[in-house]
Amino acid sequence: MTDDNKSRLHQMPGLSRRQILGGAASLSLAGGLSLAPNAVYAQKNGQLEVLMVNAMVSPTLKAILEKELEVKLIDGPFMSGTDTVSRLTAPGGARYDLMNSSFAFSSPVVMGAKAGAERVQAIDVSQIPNMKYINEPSKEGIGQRDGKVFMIPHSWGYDSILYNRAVVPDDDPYTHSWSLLFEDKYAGRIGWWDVAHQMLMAAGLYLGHKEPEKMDRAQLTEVGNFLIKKKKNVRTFFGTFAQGSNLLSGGEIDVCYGIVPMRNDLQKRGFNIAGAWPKEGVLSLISASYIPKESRNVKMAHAMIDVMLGKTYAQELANGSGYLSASTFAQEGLSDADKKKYGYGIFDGSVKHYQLKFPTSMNAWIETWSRVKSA
Amino acid sequence: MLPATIWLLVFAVAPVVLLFAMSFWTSSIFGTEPDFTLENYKVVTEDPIYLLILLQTLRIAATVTLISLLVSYPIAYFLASLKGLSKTIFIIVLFLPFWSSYVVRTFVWLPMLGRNGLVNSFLMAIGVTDAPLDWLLYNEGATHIGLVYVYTLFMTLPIYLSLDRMDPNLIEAAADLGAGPIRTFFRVILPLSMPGVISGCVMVFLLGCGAYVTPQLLGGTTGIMFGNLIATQYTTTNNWALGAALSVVLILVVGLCLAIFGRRARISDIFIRT
Repeated sequence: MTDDNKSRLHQMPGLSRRQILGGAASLSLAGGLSLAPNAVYAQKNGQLEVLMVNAMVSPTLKAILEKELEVKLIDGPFMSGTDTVSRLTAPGGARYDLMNSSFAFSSPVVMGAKAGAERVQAIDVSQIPNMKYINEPSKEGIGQRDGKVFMIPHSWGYDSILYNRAVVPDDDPYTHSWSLLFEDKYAGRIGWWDVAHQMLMAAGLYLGHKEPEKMDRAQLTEVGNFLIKKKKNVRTFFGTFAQGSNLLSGGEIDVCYGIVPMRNDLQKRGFNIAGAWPKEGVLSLISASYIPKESRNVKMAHAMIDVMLGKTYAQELANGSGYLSASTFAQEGLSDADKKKYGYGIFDGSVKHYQLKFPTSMNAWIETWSRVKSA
Repeated sequence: MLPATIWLLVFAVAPVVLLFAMSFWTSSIFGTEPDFTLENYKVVTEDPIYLLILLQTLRIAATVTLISLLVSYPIAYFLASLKGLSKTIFIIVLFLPFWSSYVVRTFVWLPMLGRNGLVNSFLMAIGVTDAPLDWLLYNEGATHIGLVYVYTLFMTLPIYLSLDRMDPNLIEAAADLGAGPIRTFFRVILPLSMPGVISGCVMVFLLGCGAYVTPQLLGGTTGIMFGNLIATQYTTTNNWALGAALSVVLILVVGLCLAIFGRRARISDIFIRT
């Protein structure tokens, strides 16, 4: 430092060490106070803090939940299944009263490796009378061990290919397969989701792998090479579904990997978007709820699980979010056309699906996907 | 001295130490365990994909630095030549986009370069093209444009400060001694503004090496950078330990680049004397 600079520093209004430390202490106190209201807030009666896919608490669905539970729902920002389980396992515990995420993806973490290692509390099923209405296929999503239930399914989602009907006609044979997402016909009009798990699962299914989640290194390399070959057809990757929706609605792409809330939202906003039913199967997942050990409103969390399986919520779920309820109430009164539109054929076998299971070696999948992206 | 030391320890040293320690830990779907393993570094060194993307990142960062320099120097020179109110106005205009967030400044290129964007609409309106140009967006070129745009200020400002402090008598003296404008620039102005140039280059290069949002939004299928690879470990695989190892590798490589660069320019020139 030059002498000139030193002298300028010395001319600054004097701040003693005590003043600086005092200021730091004040800042720490202010920081602490800014965090405190959340904890106090959640403990108040009549409020429930949840972390779940935001589409499941879209305005109409949230209204139903709040009305039936007589509670104010505070829904956290859902990022992904990975993020949700990270929050569950975070040091200090989860700050939510109720959480949910994909059963196949989350159950190893939520349930722990053995009895007693569960990261959530056992659910008192006597407080969930609507549990008896869970449909048969969804029972696979009940997480139980030693007679105790830790996870309860409430809905199904599925991933498929979304396409702009003005560009891709419904009767195009490509819409009957995952080929729509990969092959040359719509080159330059395709968007891929920038996520290793789903993209490699879809490509694996398309290439004929019966259990893509179990692909070994050589098979992953083969799938990776296929994707590298087809990457020339892709206009861009997208990181979030909001970004994907914008690309599709803005005409930047006409075909993309998509989830049901995307399709639901775009159709409701008047965009001429449809979802394909690939013969290899849509990629499905069961969403299950669980109550963290640190839940501050256990009774209300039980009540919410029950309401989500109840008639009103179950019947509005598909319309409000695109997801399929795990409750038998959901299809009551639905026309065949609506059942078909929403994809309820997953339950009766008329729509082929394959569950998004957690890969045997996720790191190898990430490396393969990185190779695809960097090629 | 003590407050500054505490500040440095808390905000600069501690995070890097934690990152370094975590790079030897073990991550699984059940979380990250404090452990000691070299497995993460083994993964990084054994799979060529990491080296490939690292080299691509360094290449993009270097190119962005060069383009930023070429774009920013004339702007800085122009600003330094202004006086009074006009100088204030131009500096505010230069800063204006930077009052918004980095992400917004990146997003703004989508409606400009997109298929139905401003540039394509204009080109079609004046009859230059009859169909939208797809290559304006979602490629490495778009990543370069985005990065140059968001980092311009980090290059312009130090160069401007160097030029602004320059004694104008030196330029007059060069002219009096018979040097033409080009010779004066290369023999007087450029050497005297080198501290600012070096400082700006280092700043932009460092920021470019860590870029994540811009390649994600504008890069399409070709713009992946090392930052994207690191982010994936934290946001998708929950593999914080590997993410930390990748971060340490990036820090070391960037440090090495600076060390090589430092053989030509002193560290004090880069970080202190602007």
